Amino acid sequence: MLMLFTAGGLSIASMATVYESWRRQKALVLYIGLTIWVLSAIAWSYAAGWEFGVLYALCLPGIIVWPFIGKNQSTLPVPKNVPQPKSLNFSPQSSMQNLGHAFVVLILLLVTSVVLALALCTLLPFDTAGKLASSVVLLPILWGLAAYHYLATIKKVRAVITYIFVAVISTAILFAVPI
Amino acid sequence: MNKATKQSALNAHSWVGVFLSVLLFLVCLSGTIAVFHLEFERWEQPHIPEFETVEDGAVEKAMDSFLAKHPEETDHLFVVLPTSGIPRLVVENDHAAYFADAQGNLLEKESVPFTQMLVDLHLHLNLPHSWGMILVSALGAIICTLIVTGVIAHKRLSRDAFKLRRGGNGQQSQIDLHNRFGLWAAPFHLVIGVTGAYFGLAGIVLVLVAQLNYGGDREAVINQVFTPDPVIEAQEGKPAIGKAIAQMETIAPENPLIFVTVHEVSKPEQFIEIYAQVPGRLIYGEAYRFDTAGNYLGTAGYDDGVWGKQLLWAVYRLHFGDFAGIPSKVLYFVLGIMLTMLCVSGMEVWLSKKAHPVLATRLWYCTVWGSVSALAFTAIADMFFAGSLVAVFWGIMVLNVVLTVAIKRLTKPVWLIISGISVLVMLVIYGVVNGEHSLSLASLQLNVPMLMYVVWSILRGNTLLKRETLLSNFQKENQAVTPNGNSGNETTRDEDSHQSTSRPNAPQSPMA
Repeated sequence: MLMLFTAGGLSIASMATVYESWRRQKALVLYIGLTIWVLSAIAWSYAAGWEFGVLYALCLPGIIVWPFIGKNQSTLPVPKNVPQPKSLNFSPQSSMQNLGHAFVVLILLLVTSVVLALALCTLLPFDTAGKLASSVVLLPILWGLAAYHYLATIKKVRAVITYIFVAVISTAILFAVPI
Repeated sequence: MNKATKQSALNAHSWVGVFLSVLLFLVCLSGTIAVFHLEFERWEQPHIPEFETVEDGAVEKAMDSFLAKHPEETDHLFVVLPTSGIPRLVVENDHAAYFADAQGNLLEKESVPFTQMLVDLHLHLNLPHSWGMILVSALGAIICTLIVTGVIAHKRLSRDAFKLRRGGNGQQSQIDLHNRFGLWAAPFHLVIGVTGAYFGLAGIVLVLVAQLNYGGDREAVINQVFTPDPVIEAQEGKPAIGKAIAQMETIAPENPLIFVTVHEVSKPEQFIEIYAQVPGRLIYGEAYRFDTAGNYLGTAGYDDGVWGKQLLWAVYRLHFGDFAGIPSKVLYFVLGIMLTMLCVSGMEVWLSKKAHPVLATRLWYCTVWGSVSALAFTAIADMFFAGSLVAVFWGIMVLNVVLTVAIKRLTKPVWLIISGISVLVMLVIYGVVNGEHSLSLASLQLNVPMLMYVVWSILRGNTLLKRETLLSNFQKENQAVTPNGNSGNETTRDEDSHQSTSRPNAPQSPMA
């Protein structure tokens, strides 16, 4: 129980230090805050096991930060006028374009990321369970990054061709190297 | 990072967030509530006795009574033990489940349709299971996209890290809330995105690997990850569940038992498996195996097996926050609310940049607060109606949309108040239906937070309603002062600029 309180205290202290570094704009204080945060992760690991230690250390700042944000809040003046609402574009052309993007992001990139993740993990020096586990972790990250790439690029046709090419190469690897 | 990169990331972020906003919101909201799915199961039948331990022989007595009542063929028998997270004893087969008391007397049938509907909404949006799960898994990947693009698109990541600018026209506070939620809770969001994607995508990976490398044999792939059934001599007779449970006190005395399964019931391969939580580990649990006579065979090796097996076996607890009792659930619930608010505030920012298109704005709030109302009315229906709760929930959602299109007064504050009143009505009806049991721990642990929601939503809704009325009066007054057609509300503002460019004689905002 003492270790739990210590870990909790270190988490709060790390956030307070990071806040102070932000307020004063001092890099040294930031590094001290990060060091305390690492110590809090170690303390959480001692108190609850390393798996939970890492999880708590990563997730707790999301909650602990709010008193500091609250302390730092300000109020803006109310604007004297209210802008007119803009109309939304539901034209057939725009709708088709959006559906096309959705098809690429949700279907094509699903196929590409599944075979790419498996192909990459097949080449890793792990046992079968390790390869499958790493592919399941890697898959949504690859998919997410590919979705970002597709939506950010202006050369969408070239991007789609690239995804198809990557999927074909990955499938060939999967045929050649059994998982 | 250059401006063009940030802008393209912002474009990607906006497209994904807006296009999939409704689905993301529903999955996040239902997931946040479903963190307490075990508590909701208790809440649905609050009169069932609760206890931490059972008397000797109670499990076997309960199973015997259950088998006498349900002699139909089944592949599995289950006993859910009071140390599982629900302090109740449940005996079941593949078709039915019954509660039993601490002495092993069979009570009534388990009936948790509302919780089932809620969990199904989260797992596959009430769509056909496979397709729904793949879609929800895709949303897990989309959360990864949103995290990456959100971080890249942020123009002043460190400069604004602790800022919250309230007031104004509300746009800046929504932007600040969105960015603060997104930045500080990003590790949790990433965990939820990756683990959430697992549930639907694992099936696709399984099918693909089976087709490519195992001649279509999915069982062979599953056996690589999850321990295959033990090879034992032909078994016969009644499974000695009580004897197996009794041995756990010496095999793993520190591990709380979750449930017992009898596999391949009445077949030569029949064996008993007891799942127990492993303290200090994220894995779902270790499986302890026994033959039909209750002789210990060994573990399935989830606690000390290869790391890949342990990783996959940890996904459930990591996703649902079910690893340290109520404290971990509260942590996940609060972080889940932040993820849900991230969806809501993201859409609000987008709508405010469009100066709140009237119908689209009303429809968004109808989705957000109307879904809470729909869930409350679905829970009410559950108390009186044995039909499909999925139909009830989605029927109410469609009705909400129709009403929102037809009635212009159904704005954000009105929907917020409606959601609060809906939950209040549900609580009152729940109290009437369940009588004294609505004051039991199983009820109060959810009813008290729900009552707090009622108070907050009605108070907040009233505040927003007053503000909306004042604003509406101000706009009318403003239009009356500028009869030449140049209404005073033509000014548009940049998100970071709060300098009005209206004429100096424009009426002062009542909220200034």
